[in-house]
Amino acid sequence: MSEAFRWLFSAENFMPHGHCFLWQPATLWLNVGSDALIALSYFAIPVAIYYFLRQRHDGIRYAWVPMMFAAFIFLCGATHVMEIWTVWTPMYRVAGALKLLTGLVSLATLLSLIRILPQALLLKTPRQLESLIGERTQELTEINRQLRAQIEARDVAEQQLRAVETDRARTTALLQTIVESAPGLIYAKDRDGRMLLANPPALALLGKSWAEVEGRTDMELLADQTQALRVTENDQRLMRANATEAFEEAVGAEDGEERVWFSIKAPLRDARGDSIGLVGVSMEITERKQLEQRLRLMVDELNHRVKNTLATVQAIAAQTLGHSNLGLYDAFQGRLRALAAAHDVLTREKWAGADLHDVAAAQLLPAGGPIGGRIELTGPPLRLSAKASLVLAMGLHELAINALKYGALSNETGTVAVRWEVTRDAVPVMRLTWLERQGPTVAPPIRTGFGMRLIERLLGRDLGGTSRLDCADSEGCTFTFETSLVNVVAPTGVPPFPDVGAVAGAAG
Amino acid sequence: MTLHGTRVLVVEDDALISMMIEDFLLDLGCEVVASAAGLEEGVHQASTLAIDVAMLDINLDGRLSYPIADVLRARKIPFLFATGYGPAALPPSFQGAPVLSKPFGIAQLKEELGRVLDRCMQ
Repeated sequence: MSEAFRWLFSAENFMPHGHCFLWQPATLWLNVGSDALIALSYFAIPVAIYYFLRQRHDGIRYAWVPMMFAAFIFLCGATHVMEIWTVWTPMYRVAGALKLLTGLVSLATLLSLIRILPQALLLKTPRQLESLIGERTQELTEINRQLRAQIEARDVAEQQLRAVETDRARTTALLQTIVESAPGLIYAKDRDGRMLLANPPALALLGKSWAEVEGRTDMELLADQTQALRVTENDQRLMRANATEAFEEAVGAEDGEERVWFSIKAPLRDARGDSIGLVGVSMEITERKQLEQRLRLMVDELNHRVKNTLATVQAIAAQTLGHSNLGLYDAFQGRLRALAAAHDVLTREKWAGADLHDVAAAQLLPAGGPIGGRIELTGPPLRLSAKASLVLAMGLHELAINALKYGALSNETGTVAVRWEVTRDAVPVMRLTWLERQGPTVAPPIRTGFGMRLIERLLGRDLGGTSRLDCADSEGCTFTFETSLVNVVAPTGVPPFPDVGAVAGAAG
Repeated sequence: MTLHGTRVLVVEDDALISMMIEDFLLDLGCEVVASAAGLEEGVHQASTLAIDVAMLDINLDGRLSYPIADVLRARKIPFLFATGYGPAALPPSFQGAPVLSKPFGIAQLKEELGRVLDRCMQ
């Protein structure tokens, strides 16, 4: 080994390379300088490659190829240093060995280059890259645009969603405020009557918290089982009918008095419209019912007093006139009773008006009276106003008195037909006829007296009509009265006084 | 039928009306046995006096005369109510009882008294 080493490094008898230049300085230094420049450059290149690799150490897939290049260039530089060295020292064997090494590394570099050539060829040229980048950039720009549009759309949607949420929150708050602050009861129940909702007044009525009320039925919640049963029946009925209903209900009690509520209940419906429960609102009307009761008592009392006053007036007349003037007293008493009879009819009808037939019957057909069978009443149902009822009652009374004294009712055979009709004119007219038959033949002159004057005045002035008396017929007189229907008919929509006379305990 | 000699009890709180009714009754030939203005007085007389028929005002100064009617009913003495109300105002226990609606005339009184006594006779 050491033998080979010595052989390699021995110069023996070779001539330095300078002899080839004949030691001419210019030739010698031209070669030495050029070799030095080449060597320096070749040594610098691996440094640059190394620096490049260091800086891009993560991006190079075949880092060993430039490393091979670096080694090959370095060794080339070394052969040029050897060229300079052999100018003065003839170690041509070392120089040759170095060239062999350089040759081997060059060959290896070539082989490695050939190996990666297909991959290298696949690498895009800058122009290709540029156009590729251009395409990619365009695609990206398009994607970017789409993304921006999507983001904008999402922003709009989000804004709408926020608006909807705000709206819903506001509606919920509004509903909650209404439900909580409404003075009446608001509640909802499912099909089996279990509570789904109850506002504070409803909870206050039950005297329970929502936790105690939720999911319970009225049968479980109400102390009074009779009330609970009636409420449940109402609820079931309207859910079966699947229709809104309004009615009065008794729920709860205060000071031993049932509390009365006006309830409006509507079915809760599912998407198919089937009833799945109900929602209800109830306002307390206990006080109103009490006022109605009191008003009823007052109206009863008033009617009673009016009748009593008429009786007192009758008594005064009786005491004042006594037996001194029986005719006068009878006429007076008759008229007073005519008023009272009309009053009776109106009281029975709660002062909302009365049927003409009832008014006439009260005057002319007193039960079991002497003339009842001889008077016939014919005409369509006609609802008179309260005023028309009183005036017509007075008028019929006068006609009857006259007939009793002088007309068809003064003998044993005469009859009276009272007929009324309503014409179909543009302005309907009511026509009432008093027809006497089989009366005494002589028409008495008394018919222009007070009775007739009273009739004409009453009917003409109070009812705005015209009346005519015709006594030309030998069988008896005919009296006709006509007026516009509007003057006598009861106005529609007038509510009657609440149940006048219906309270038995107030009778007297 | 004649009402002559019929013994009548009148219960009426209004003095003038009671005077008129008494006059009517006298004119009809009746005998006014007693005339009461108040409830207690009426109950007392209805339960003690010998009478054929009674006329009762329903409202006696705010009090109802039904207790008197109960007494009369127990004694099987006929009676009729005189009132400012019609028959509809009567309580269930007196539904159908004879009622004279005020103001009434002597003819109505005669007729109604006759009917009440007639019914009683049968």
